[in-house]
Amino acid sequence: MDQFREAFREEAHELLAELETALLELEKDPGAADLIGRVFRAMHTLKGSSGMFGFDDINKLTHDIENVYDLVRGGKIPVTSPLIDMTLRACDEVKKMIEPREEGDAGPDLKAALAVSASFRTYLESSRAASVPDAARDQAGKQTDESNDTDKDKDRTMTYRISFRPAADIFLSGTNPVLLLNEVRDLGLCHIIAKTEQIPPLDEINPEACYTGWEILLTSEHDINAIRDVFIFVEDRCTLNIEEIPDDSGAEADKEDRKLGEILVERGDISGSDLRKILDSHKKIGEILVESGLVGAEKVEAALVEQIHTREVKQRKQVAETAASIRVPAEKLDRLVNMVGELVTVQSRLSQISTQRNDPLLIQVAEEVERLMAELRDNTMSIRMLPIGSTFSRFERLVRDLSAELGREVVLKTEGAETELDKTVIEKLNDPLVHLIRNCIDHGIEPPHIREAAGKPRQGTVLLAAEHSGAHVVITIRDDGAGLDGEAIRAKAIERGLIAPDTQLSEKDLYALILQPGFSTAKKVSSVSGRGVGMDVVKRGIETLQGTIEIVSEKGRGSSIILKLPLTLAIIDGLLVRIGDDYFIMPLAAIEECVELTEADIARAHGKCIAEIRGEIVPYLRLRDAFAFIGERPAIEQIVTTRINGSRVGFVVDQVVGGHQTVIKNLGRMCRDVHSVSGATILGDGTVALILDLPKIVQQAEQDEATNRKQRGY
Amino acid sequence: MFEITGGEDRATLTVSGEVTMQNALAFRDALKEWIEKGDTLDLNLGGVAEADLTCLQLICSAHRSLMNTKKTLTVMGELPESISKAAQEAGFVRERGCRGEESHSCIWVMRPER
Repeated sequence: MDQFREAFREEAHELLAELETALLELEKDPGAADLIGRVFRAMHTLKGSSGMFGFDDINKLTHDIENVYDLVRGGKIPVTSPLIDMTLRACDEVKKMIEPREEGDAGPDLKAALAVSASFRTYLESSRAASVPDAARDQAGKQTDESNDTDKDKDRTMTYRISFRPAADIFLSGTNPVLLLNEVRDLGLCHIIAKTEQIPPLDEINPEACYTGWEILLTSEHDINAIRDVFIFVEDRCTLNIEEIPDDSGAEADKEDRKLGEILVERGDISGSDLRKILDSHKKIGEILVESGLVGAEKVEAALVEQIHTREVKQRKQVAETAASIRVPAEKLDRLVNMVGELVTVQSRLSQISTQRNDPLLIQVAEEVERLMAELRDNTMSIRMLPIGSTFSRFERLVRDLSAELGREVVLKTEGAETELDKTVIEKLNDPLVHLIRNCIDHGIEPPHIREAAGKPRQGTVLLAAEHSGAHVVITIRDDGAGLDGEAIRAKAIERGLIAPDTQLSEKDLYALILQPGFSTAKKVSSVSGRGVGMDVVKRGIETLQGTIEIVSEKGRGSSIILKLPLTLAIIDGLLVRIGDDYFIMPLAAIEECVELTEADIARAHGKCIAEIRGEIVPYLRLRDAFAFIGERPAIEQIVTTRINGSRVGFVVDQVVGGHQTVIKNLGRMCRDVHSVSGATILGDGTVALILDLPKIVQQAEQDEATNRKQRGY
Repeated sequence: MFEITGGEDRATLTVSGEVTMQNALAFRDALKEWIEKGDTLDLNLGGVAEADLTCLQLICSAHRSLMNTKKTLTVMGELPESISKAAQEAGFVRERGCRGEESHSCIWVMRPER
């Protein structure tokens, strides 16, 4: 049972997310029937599954809410801001109620949930009193119950064959039968064919009479009564026949479309024996039947339309089935990724051995395995990819609540919600994004009156955008608020001793100071931000994800915070290098090129760690020195040039071995304070290569340099 | 509204404006006069601004009147939006015409017969 309850929790989280998104959109567009439908459906599903899995409290709460939204859906009560607020509060309560409990844990306090439930009942009563006349109130209540019952069958569709022939004098009563057909169309997937065989020639026709009848094929979630309701006002002035077409979704029937002949026999238009006789000849059955006079052309036409209709229904079903997904526990996926990682290691060993043996047959097999392995790796990694939109939608609520709390008018716009990222990255991205959006609203977006005074629209905009950029995803959080105050940042940094009063900083470096721990220029601390912990958390969070942060700002116009994150944290493309007898991996995404560093180059630099590469002076770090390797360096070394935080930096190694598919392994807790390496990988021969954290190495070198300068009295 | 031109060999009926229940009688009369007038009949519906079920029935009726004669009916140009929409809504647009061989001349057949 526990596993089912767990499955329910997962489903409930998704439904609540969908519900919140729909509610927030509904608040902006209260008349949108599709949004009301989305809210109702999510609530209805939540109610159904909570009851099924024994979450009775949730079931009761959602039932009360559903009753209110049923009236909303029926246009009996409007969508109002208080209603949206109440529903969002209810979502929060449901979230608490589905949290797993430890043994002996009494669970959440249900008082709040009961209060929300009661508020919905009160709302329902007051709305009914206000909108439904007394005499009709009981009827409305009855209808609500009935519609709840019908909703249980909502997911089931039925196909109906409707035969409708109005009386010849129907026009005289002011009825237009075509309008009735349009009403039927609104009930589902519909094919309508007019039966015109009774229209007489001009000499006999009464132009004001109706000679047309209709055959209608309808596949709908509605029951037969809903269809009868359409024709209720012409019941006594028409011939109406509605029959259900048996569901042919069985295994056999799904294999091929129903044949025209079968349909005609089923409809009673021809007999089975007539059909068999006709099938002995080789013409198209429709033509033969019409020619032989067994069936009128219009009947064949109606059967053809039925065939098309059935085909279309089946196609839609197939599309829905194809789009269906299966739910797999995340740990199983992690295990799969780990195993693929192990396979990558074994494959690289196979490649290495095949090269050593120089056996053409073995090399061929190794290459084949390598190709398949790369495909398997990419496929497995893609399973872990999720669209970032699921995270984005949570922030709509955050922005709404924060704006209300801080007296701002803010709209959140999102772009690139479909951009996919590794699920681990998405999970870890949530907290940094929350801090950044809070900062945007609290420090960035000005209060409405100040914005108006500055000639800006009262409503501020926060843009949350994601896009792919090579092996990275770039996430931008942009606001059109006040922008960063460079002078204030500078003054604060001097006050806190982060920079000397005469230090010249580029705009980028100046803004980067706000990422320092405890740095805040806010004059007062709010519940939202101003304590100077947020941006530090953001920086650490993004660095954990091997990402970078860049801040761009224009005073009075707004700021942009640009996060650059790797697509995945499990397997990366790396460059294998050697220093002494040890091997290291550099993430390939940061690398620009590799060039030789000779004794002559070193001599030309007069002892400085710089090299001229393609006309540009590039500072370099000798990793042999940084890692305190003992032994002579080779006569010709290699500089691997990289771009880190926008600057070109070279790393000198003994030898560049080549590209390497790198399965990232954690170093474990013992090594968590080692900042120069971000992990390790196992090479083909079983040896371990450390994965270098290049930005950290540069940072460390800069700090060491600053300390040296201080000691030397510069 | 309804204008008949030509004669004997070729007669053209040009229909324009609203062709609904209100002027169904007049349309029927115009159609009758037109099919009497020539052997090759051209129907120009390009100017029809609004059409309803009565209009569609009368066009069918005219077609039916010609079925047992040697006269030919041709609809000139594309059907106007008003008539296409009315035919679509009323389920007149179809896979095949209403009577065997003659179905090739049905103006509601939008796709080739299967």
